[in-house]
Amino acid sequence: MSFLKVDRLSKLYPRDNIEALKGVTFSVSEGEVVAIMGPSGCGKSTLLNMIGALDRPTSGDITINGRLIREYGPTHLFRARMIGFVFQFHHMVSGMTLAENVAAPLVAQGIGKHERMKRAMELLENVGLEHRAHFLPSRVSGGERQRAAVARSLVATPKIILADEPTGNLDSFAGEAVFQLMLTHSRDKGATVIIATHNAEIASLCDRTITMRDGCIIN
Amino acid sequence: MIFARNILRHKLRSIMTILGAAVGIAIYVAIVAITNNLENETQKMINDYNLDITVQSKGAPSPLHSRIKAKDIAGLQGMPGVRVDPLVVGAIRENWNSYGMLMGIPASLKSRFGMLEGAPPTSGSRDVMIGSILAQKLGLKPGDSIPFGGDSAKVVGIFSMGNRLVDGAVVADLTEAQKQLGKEGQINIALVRIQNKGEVKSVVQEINRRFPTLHALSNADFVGNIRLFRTIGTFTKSVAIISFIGSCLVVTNTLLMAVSERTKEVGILMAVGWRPWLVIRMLLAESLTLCLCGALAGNGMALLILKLLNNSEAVGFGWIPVVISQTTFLASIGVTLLLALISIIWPAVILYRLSPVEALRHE
Repeated sequence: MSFLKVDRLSKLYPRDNIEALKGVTFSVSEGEVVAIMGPSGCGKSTLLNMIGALDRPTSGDITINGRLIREYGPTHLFRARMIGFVFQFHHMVSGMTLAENVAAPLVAQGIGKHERMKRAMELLENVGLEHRAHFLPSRVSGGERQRAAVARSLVATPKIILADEPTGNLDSFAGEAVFQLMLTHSRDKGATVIIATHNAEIASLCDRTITMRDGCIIN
Repeated sequence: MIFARNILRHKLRSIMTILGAAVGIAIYVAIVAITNNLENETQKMINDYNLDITVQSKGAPSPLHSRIKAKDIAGLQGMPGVRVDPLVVGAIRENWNSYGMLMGIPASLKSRFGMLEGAPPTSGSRDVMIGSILAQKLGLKPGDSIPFGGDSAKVVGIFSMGNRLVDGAVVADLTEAQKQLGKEGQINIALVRIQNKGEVKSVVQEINRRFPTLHALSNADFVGNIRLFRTIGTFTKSVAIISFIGSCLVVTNTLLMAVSERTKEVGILMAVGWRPWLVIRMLLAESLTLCLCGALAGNGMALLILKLLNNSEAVGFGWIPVVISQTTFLASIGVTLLLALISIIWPAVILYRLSPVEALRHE
């Protein structure tokens, strides 16, 4: 049985009359690492946003473990418990230290500060950033920020990690390091990973590649 | 302490916001301190004289504007079971104070002044006694003279009533004060004491019935019925509301700028599962901190304003209290909390309506 099932998913932006997704259907097994490739504007980010419940589809369904996303309760709780996000531009909150940024998903779950910081520190240690835990994002390098973003995506032990061009803003060396980090830790935690990427090298390291064009899966 | 970091990140903007809130609070606190103190001091003055009833002319906005004619004074003094002490009071313009207070009292009231030095002026003399605040400001002692009514008058005594209004005044014999104030044969208020204290209400009614041009009030009702104070009270509320709205706009503007700058960050937090309320709570903490800092700065500014006014010759030395009562301070904190809550409404609505995807796309 598929862990994640995307069924005839469509997304129309009526204001711009753009159909970003056109009946996309695919499934992913638990613990699988899937790369989604395709040119810019083909619908990769939109697809990740739908799976992560950041946006609603115009039609179609997404089921996780046989349950529709809406059956998981409020979307913010679904995201906090089930999804880990890694964005292209690390997306750190500038007023929070790296440790606070990493712990942010735990705040949403109502976990106490002491426990939050303990788990954040463990994750930062795993990504080699324990010495930067109390630094603000502006005081660390882009690669370090992205490693912290990976730590943040893993801190709540989510079932699915959605990474939107996680290495797109890094040089090839730092990009590969971040990807390996994400891969290793998500495999350790048994998380399913879906990565939107332009990087064929990174895609080749994944279990499977889905190719998209103009809102459709072509391969 | 994320909110504190956010405030410190834009130091200049935070300082300007605090000042914006502080100005509103300072105006509110200074005006409330002055008006409340004026009312309290007036009430205290009435209490100090151990009065039962105060009589002034009907329709007079304040005792300073009241005129009671000689025949009415005589009529009041002729009422059975009452003792009437006439009092004349007004402002004089002298080179030592452009708004000096002059009081004229009869011999019967002189014993009620707490003399620090010297003695009260004798009946029919041009001598004066002065309050301790005025004596201190002008460096005068008994035996010195003070410019008075185009000439000078000898200071024969210095008194203290523990009341800022009176302790900044010049007190002369009733007749001399009437002459200086151009109120010969007239007084401002009649201070009435009655033998049977249980009859205050009926005596008030009797005076109001017998003297249609006069308005008698019991001691307890006097201050609350001074029209001038009611007018000042309305003015105070108007100014307070206007400054409150101004401060609200300043704080709201800062919070809107914060929301606009941090829209993407809000999107990140929503993406990791934060409800809009959690983000709003963070913003509320910023708003409360800015406003509370504004309240403290505002109270400090109010004290400075009061001190400057107190020393201002144009206003009159010593009239203005350089003190903020605990009630006024707590009220200012309450107003500030309200300010923080109202200021966050608009930014909160924006945050609440924000979708995570839109926020993440925000540039």
